[in-house]
Amino acid sequence: MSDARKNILGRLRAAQADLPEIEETVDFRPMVPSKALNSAELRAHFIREATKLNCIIHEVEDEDAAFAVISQLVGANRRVAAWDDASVPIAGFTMRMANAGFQRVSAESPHAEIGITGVDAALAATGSLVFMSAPGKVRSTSLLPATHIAIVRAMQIVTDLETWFAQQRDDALTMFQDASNVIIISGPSRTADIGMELVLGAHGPHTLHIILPIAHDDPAGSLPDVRPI
Amino acid sequence: MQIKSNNFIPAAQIGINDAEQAAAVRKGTTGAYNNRLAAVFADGKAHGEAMRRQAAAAKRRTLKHLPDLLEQAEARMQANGTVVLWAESAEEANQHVLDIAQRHAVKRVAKAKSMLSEEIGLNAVLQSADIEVVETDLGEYILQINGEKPSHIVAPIVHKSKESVRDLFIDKHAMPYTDDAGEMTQFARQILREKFLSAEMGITGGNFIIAETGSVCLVTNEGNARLVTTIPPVHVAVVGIEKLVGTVEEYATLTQMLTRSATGQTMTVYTHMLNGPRRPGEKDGPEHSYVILIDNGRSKIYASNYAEALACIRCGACLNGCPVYRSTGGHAYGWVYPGPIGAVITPLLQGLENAKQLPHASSLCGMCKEVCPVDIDLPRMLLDLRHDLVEVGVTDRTWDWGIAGWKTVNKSPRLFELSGKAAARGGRFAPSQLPGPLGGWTMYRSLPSFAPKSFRQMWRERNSDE
Ligand code: SF4
Repeated sequence: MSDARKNILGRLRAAQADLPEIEETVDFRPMVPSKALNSAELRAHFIREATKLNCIIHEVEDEDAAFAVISQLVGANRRVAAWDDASVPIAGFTMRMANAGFQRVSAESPHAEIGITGVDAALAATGSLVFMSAPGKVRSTSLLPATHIAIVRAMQIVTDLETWFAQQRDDALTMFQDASNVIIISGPSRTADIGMELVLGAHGPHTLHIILPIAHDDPAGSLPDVRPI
Repeated sequence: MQIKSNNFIPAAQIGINDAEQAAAVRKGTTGAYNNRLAAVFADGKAHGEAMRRQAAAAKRRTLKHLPDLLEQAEARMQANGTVVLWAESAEEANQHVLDIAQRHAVKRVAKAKSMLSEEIGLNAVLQSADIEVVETDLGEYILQINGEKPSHIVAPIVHKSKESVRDLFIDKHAMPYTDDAGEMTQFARQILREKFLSAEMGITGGNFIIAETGSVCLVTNEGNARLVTTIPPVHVAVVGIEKLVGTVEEYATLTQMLTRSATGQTMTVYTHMLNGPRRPGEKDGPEHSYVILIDNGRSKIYASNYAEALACIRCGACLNGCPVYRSTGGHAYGWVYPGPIGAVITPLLQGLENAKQLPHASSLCGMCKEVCPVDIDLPRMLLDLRHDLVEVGVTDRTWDWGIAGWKTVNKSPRLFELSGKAAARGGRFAPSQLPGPLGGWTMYRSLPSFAPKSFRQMWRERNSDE
């Protein structure tokens, strides 16, 4: 073992006092100033932002309607990878897929053409989806297939990244650190490297469908994280 | 990477004279500049400026507490199962990566974009140990198959036109002819997908490490960094010691300022927070995760008058706004980091004597400070570096001769007057282009013509008239 650690920290400590004094406490302003939003406005805001990012939004009444949309998107003879039932907000998802005749492959399969997942949160201010890895929530499902379908429960929509971190802070960041991988996805994969032209579908999915069931778990007005600013 | 920064002037001329490259750089930087303006000030000038101050303060706090944050981050990363290694130099860092590769019998590495890996010359070291290294960022991949270096810290092939990429793919990979950037991207995606699936090790940099959680954070759009950190069984992150932030709140500010300042996006497509290897029961994600904390000259900067330069979050905004960068392109700067931030940190990391011209590669117009999301005073540092150049006597020969001549002439009133007359007469025969190293001046402007009579002459004539 070299002395690198000791030497580096030693050099930094020796110079630390010479650095200008700083203000230690700050009130963090969120990046996107937002007004207090009720759940319907939050949902509308999320849809607007996600659409700007080239996501395709499907608003549906209930789980049956959600699955009907998925069936239509999957069509015939396509290889489908999906998260475990416990993490997909449509009851009996495996059974439904079998009944609909989906050709299911393992969630981490490199041959899947369509990946179906739930989400852990959605951020209205930026139209983003949050995913925290865990058993049953395989990461490749939202990454390897050319098409990704994400199902969002209305109550999962929070104002913005700052609000979501505030929720994590309430739990002493325990859930956050228990996930080996936290990823925030904002639209389908893209690049502008070649001639500065925007191309959707670089290494990840080129299409991102977001299904928003108007769920029974969202009693009007009781939305958890509405931050007045 | 070999440093060639003392060639700035001739290299800049090459960049300026290459019309295709100049057009590509102009297009890329102008687009990014405008996108940044729209994004940072989307909610008004005052809010944008307040967010800049908030981001600047967050990075200043990081620097003030840097050694403590490094220890905190190390402990958190170890708790989540990451192996943390430290490296004082490029050689030590590369040796760590090589050791890890050999421990896991790695034959192929998939790599996401990392400027630090360019700085330490990692690819060459791995390749000389018979390990295949595949750059997977589309731009970096294009550079790799063409044996080129990036010319921008965010958009590595900003200097390349779509047509030159097309010709390269046709030439090297027999791509069927197309003028469609989408088809070219799909073509590269197919080739690279194979490489991802067979790589035993993934290497990334790190945009931030959150000290309180030990999370290694990356921002990417293409998804290649996701593949690099998901598919191969081993993940190594090479991260500079200055990349720390204290808390998730500071991170939320900085990562969103980074993307707004870099490309004008509110968030990049993929905002990663990596908390170590996969946990029991998970079916993908790396089984082994390593973070190498690299100094390579940074602690020296920390102890200098230039510590502020370590606040840089590598957004590239100062490149996009800089009139010098915009006309020369990035290769002229001769090392890894171009533009105003490169002109500051190249001499600091590589020695003033190896980058004598870079502190002068600026008109001091102040644009770089104005656009910087963490408000780094780059013009102040460029001036201080010019001062240092004089202090340590590291200057260009031509400059020394010029100054010596100027001194002799100005010390003697007779010589001074003679030189004025000579200039007034000789001016008529002056070439439109100055010779040798002075040519840089006349490249953009014509020589001023001297007044036919000097002030002294006029004064004398006036007095004799009376
Ligand atoms: S110095 Fe500022 S503007 Fe330039 S790359 Fe760094 S953070 Fe961006």
